[in-house]
Amino acid sequence: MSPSRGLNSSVLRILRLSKVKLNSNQSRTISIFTEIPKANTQIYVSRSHSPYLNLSIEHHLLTKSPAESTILFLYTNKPSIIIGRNQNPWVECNHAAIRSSPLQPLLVRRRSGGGTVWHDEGNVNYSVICPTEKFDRNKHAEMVVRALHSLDVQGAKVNERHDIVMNTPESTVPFKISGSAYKLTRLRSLHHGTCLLSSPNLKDIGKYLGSPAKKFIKARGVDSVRSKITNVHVGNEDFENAVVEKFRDMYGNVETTFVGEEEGTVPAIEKGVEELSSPDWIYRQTPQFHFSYPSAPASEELEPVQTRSWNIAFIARNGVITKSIEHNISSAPGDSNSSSVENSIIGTNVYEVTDWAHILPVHEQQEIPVAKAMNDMLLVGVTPAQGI
Amino acid sequence: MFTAVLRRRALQQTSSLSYQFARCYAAKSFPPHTVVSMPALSPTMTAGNIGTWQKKPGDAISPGDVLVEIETDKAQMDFEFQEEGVLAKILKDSGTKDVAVGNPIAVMIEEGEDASAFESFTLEDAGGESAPAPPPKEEASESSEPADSQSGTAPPSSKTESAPVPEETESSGGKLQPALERQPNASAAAVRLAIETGVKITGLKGTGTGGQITESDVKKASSGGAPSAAPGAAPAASYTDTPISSMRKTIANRLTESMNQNPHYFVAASVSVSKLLKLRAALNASADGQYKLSVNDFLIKAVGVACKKVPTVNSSWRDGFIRQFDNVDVSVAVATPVGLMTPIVKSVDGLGLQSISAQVKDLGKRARDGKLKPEEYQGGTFTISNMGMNPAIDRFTAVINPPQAGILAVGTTKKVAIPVETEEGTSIEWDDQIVVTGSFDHKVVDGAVGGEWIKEFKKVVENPLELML
Repeated sequence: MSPSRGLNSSVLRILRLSKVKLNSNQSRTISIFTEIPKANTQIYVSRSHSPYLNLSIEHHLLTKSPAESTILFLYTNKPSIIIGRNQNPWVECNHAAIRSSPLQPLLVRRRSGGGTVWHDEGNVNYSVICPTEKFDRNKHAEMVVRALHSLDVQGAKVNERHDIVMNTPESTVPFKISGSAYKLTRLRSLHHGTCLLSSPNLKDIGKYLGSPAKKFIKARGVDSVRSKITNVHVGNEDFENAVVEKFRDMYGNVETTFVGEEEGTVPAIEKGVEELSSPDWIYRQTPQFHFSYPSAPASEELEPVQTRSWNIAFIARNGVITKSIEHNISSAPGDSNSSSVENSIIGTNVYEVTDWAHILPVHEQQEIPVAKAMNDMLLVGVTPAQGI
Repeated sequence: MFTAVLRRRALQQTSSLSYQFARCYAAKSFPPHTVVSMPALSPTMTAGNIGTWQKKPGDAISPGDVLVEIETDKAQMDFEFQEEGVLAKILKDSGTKDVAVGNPIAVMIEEGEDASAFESFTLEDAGGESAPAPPPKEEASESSEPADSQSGTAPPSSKTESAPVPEETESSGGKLQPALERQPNASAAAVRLAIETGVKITGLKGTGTGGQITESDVKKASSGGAPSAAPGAAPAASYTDTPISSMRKTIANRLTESMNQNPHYFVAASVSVSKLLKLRAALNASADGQYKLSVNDFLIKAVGVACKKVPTVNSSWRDGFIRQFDNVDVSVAVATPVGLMTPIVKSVDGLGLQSISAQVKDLGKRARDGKLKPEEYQGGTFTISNMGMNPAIDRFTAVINPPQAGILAVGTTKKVAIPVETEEGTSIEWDDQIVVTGSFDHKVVDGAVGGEWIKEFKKVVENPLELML
């Protein structure tokens, strides 16, 4: 109980942990764990920085692990923007910023719900998979908070949205350092979260996640909830070790298995990577939305616009335009000129457009800035195939 | 032969399912069908967003097939349909937000029936919608909020009997409640009337046989309150809208519930604290840095003594019985940046002033840091709320923290002139007094008993050496 004894034992534990880490340099591929009969606790750390691969490994762990097991998976991704399962990529991120960014961030749609987050090498993600009957939104967020406390981050705590927040000297309101999302299936459930440790891009995250298209789109699906964010200022490895230690405290001492690109050869994971990186998944899983420019949409339905300027509006289902209205001041609605524009853009795959000026027959001067603005907001940046 | 029997049973089941719906709106006639409602995929779920439909009209469904993905509060879940059939019509499209549990989302028919007959089937044909049920008494709607205290808290929640339950697991064992059990127990006429008048049927208590909600219940409810939002007023002048956080919601629910369920009455007393202040000064002078007693510490101890002398107040109204506690656990109201919290000092009757003082300081600090453990703020048999540090407050009344039966509201110290008998006649002295107002729940504590409690409290505060007895 004396303080010095406690300190010694924790030092010993850290030494023991690092020894364990050094020894498990062999990375067994994931398919092996299904053969272990009672692999009730498993810990994986990914060496890959590909978000598509890491999320596919995570999904494989969720779907193929033994029903009673509890799994911890830690991974770090290269700069990417991860949107939730039912979100709209044009509402959630700034495509102009993505296109012009030297970081070339990837756009990823994950399988769990919730809002949009930024990943980069200064952000470590944790993921806990357990039986659905034991699922609890706070249990593992609490575990990460304990890990942070052990790293002397005393002000960290879980808030009512199940995010992890931290007190900062500059503000009375705590800043967010980690967001959580969940996926529940009948037997197995997943809770994963980010943790902003030392992102060099902290100041720019707001720029990437703030879309100018947002006010011109009325979208179904899930909205993100914006929060002020900050870095914890802890090293990645220290954080990983601390989380692993707290996980071991809860579930038992097991070795860490390192995974990486070799896992990409497992057929199920390979399929997952293909699916996650396909534009079909990223863009065409978007719930129905109504886009109207320059007059913002008032509701989910298309309506004739009461404005004196040229206005184009469309409804897109599954990322493809199904209905549209063009408002042209030089002709009445229903005019053959307007309806030809309206009809011509039906069937357009919004993410495939490379120049709206080609899609919309631009006759008059006032249409050019509209096409330009739409290009700015809607054109998609790096296509995933380039970025794996 | 078996298939015939099974089919008949399946048919019977379907027809009883559609009883609630198919019979209500016979405006158009459709072939026999079942309406699929939004399931509660966790015990606390009240509404969800529809994600991607995994089946389209005309597709066959086998038990266990995923019908549609549902998202609620950042959790993505698959709705696995447990019966056989064919999807006839989707009533709520992908991306629809906030569909209340129990509201129709699709139509199913038997194998071999014609799905195209349902092209024109609308929500009204399914029985219409109702808004999400208000969060049930014990639970917060979507978030896992703890709080036996008067407010939600930032620290993580666990569970206790009356605290809101974190969803998906814990107290109920996480068994997914099938959608069928969620149909309101109401007569067909009541359902119809509820839809017509816009009353939320799930919130009503039934007075019919077996707790069934009858037409008269619905009538009473519809004349009772006007639930629906008025159409938007003309554009107002500038204002700021703050979305309601779950903590705010919890505070709102629990305090409203307390005001509604507890017949509050208030007993006030002006208590002289001159002797108490002197004793405090004396004890602090010999403290040697070990402790620093505050007036609140004395009051907490006095509350403990009064509760022991009048144990009726140290009780809780439960279902069918009143529980009288042997220990006095005092919840102490602490103002923190996130809101009001009430950490508990346990077994106050057995503690000395020094321990009380140390505990209150420690709990207060940890409450402000958001580091309280659930058992440190859930429970308690009586609450003390001291606003004496605010010099403007003479007295105030507080809301009882359910399931406790009383709360003491303490005002600021004032100098009051009192007459004193001396040999020369009546002269005036200055006395330090505070006004305390006790709120009691008349269900448990009758008026005279509340008065007794205040009398004992005043007695021991005005003669603080009696704290030693």
